[in-house]
Amino acid sequence: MPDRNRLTAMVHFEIDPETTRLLEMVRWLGREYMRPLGIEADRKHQPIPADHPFYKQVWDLGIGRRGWGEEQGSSEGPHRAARRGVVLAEEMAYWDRGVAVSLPGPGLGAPPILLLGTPEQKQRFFSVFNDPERPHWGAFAMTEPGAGSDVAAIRTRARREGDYWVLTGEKMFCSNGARADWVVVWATIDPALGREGHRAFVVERGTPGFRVERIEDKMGLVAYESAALVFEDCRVPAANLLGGEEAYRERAGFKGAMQSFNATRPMVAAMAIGIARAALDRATEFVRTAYRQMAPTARYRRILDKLLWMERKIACGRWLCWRAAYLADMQQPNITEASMAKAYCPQIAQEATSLAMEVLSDLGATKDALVEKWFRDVKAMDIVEGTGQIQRRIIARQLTGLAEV
Amino acid sequence: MFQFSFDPEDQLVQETASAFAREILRPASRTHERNGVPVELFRQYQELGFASMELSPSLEGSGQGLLAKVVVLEELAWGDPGATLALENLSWLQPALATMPEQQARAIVAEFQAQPHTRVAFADGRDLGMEIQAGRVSGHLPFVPAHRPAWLLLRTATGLLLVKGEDVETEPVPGAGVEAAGGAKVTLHGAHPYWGTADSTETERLWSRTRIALAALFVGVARAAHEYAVEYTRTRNVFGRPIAQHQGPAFLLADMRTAIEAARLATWYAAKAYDSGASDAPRWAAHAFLEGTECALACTRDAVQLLGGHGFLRDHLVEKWMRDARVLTLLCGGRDSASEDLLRWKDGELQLVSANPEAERKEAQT
Repeated sequence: MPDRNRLTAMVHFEIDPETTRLLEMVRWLGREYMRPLGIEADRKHQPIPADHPFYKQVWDLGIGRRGWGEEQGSSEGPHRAARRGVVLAEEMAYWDRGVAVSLPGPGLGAPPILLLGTPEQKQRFFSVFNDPERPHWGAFAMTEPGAGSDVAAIRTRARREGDYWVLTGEKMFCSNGARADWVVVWATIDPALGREGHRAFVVERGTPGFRVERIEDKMGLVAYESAALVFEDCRVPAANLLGGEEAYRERAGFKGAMQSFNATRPMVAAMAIGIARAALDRATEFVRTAYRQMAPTARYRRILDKLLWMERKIACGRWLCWRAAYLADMQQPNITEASMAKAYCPQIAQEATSLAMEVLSDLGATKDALVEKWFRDVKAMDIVEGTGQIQRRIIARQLTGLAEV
Repeated sequence: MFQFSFDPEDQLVQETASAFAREILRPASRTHERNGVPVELFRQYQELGFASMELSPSLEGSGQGLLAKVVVLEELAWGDPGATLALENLSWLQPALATMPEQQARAIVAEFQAQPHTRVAFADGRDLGMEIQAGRVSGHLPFVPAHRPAWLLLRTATGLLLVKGEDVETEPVPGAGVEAAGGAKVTLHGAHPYWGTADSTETERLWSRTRIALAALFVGVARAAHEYAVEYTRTRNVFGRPIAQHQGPAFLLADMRTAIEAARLATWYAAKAYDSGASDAPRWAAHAFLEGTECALACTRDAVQLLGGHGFLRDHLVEKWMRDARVLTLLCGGRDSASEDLLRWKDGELQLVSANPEAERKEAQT
């Protein structure tokens, strides 16, 4: 039996000083700008315009600008980007998940470029984020009207013509797609090839044949635009095929797309936790002020039970995200853990926001109380980046070793 | 930054516990269920050092924290939660041993060294009408998880007490689960505690150790049931393919696995809080107990469900684990006691803050 208590030292739940400093900045930004802007966008039912001064302000703070495509982890020991990512994602979503998604930067376009892109492509596509003058966005387009969770079913076609690839098809739910400098667009060279036919192209704004059809009209998360895109004989330079043809041998294309999701699923799960925590704080504050006089009643006890349930589930969800992110930082497989976080967090967050409305009772039914906004916003967390059902399929496949579940 | 890793020496401890569970506890679990845990096994367990791993070196323990212990407990409960309850005898006294004068603690440890099969029980007597007059405790406990306990760790409305078995009346009762541990009803007729504390903060902190250790057992039994169900459903075919390839059962397996991970992390977090002396450790202990309870009840029930008619037969262990989980999660006052404590603390927290409730109430309503 070892005589030292090292296990206690090896497992711990602390956030490092640098991330704490960043958290403080996000809290300030969130309190001063993100929460109010998110509410304003929701009330107007319009995304925040790209030229809003807020974006220039955060751009000047370095948000979305620094570090893209640079090697990480060399100077500060083990990788910590994934862990830092989930901590900050939770905090941003706490203030406003819609505004968080609308922030400048390459967004979901970053992971495929980082995973598949050549050094030249990384340099080329990330260089716009060094522009000190004005904010820039990148975007990611996978979902189609006929292909959501079943990403293998995408029908946007890519055919080679000389030095170009010609794209034809439609995409939807492309976050920041209308303001992006470029969009990573997934297309198939032949639907009969299934996943092996998938290719990722970086389509730059202004490319002939590429247009934004409309901004989707969503039930929540109004602050960022979800664009529907159309590609009509859109000619994309061959140099914009991410990784070049060799990157797609041995199903690498589809794997690349899926790896993107493994990296981002814990972040989406953490965002659900952030929204749930906002609802818990609002409900707690309401109880503290409005329910105090009825302390001995049975109803008061039931309400405290709801707060406690939320507190517990939010904590458990956060640790699931942290564990998945930790494994990612350690460059260990985290497929199951990422999917567990993604299956669990949105589910409990939906329940938490709904319970918060119950706690506020009649007031909870009004738009003024804000919790109904979070109730609407959080629903998307169980849908994007693989629905809860997709996560369960992934977990079950990993558990049983059976290919088709 | 937060991390969740074991180094090779930690892994060795975990693997030792896992091997003991796999090679000894699990194969003998039906025998232990019928006959109780044999004396030789207590001796073997003592030699492994698990029951004394939290004791301070001055009491010949290895001075490890609760976090290391919960990792071991999960493995052991995977083998057999009832036998683990019994074998852990000395550990259940850890809250008292860590707090009482060393001479008193030394006497107890010596007793266990001489008689490794000495049994211990613990109970939350707060809602059971325990009376304490002039330092003597009277009352009735309908069930404790030990057959003729030599020691009883008792939570009362006023504190935590350690009572000698010889000072109480015990009568064996058949338990509905964890039969390997045995069961007894206990009557105290003005028993004089061997040790006690009336400090409410200390009591809550010490009692949280019991809750966290139990939560680790919940995770272990849930994991046992889940792994058994995974293996069964991936190898048995229905409608031409394995049960696990049908999405209804597959999703259930996924949810069980997720619940186990969440409960495990809750247990680790609470144990870490306890080890570091955090003032909110009792809160996280209660949360871990509740998360573990939900997980163990759901996973064992669903494992029986996934085995269908076979699950209902004693040919498989899942029916035992379902009963074990039900009884285990009633211990220590069960989830009602944990919820009650959380409610009290939450109420205290909410009452503490406001200086001007009327103004805030108006603000909240606008």
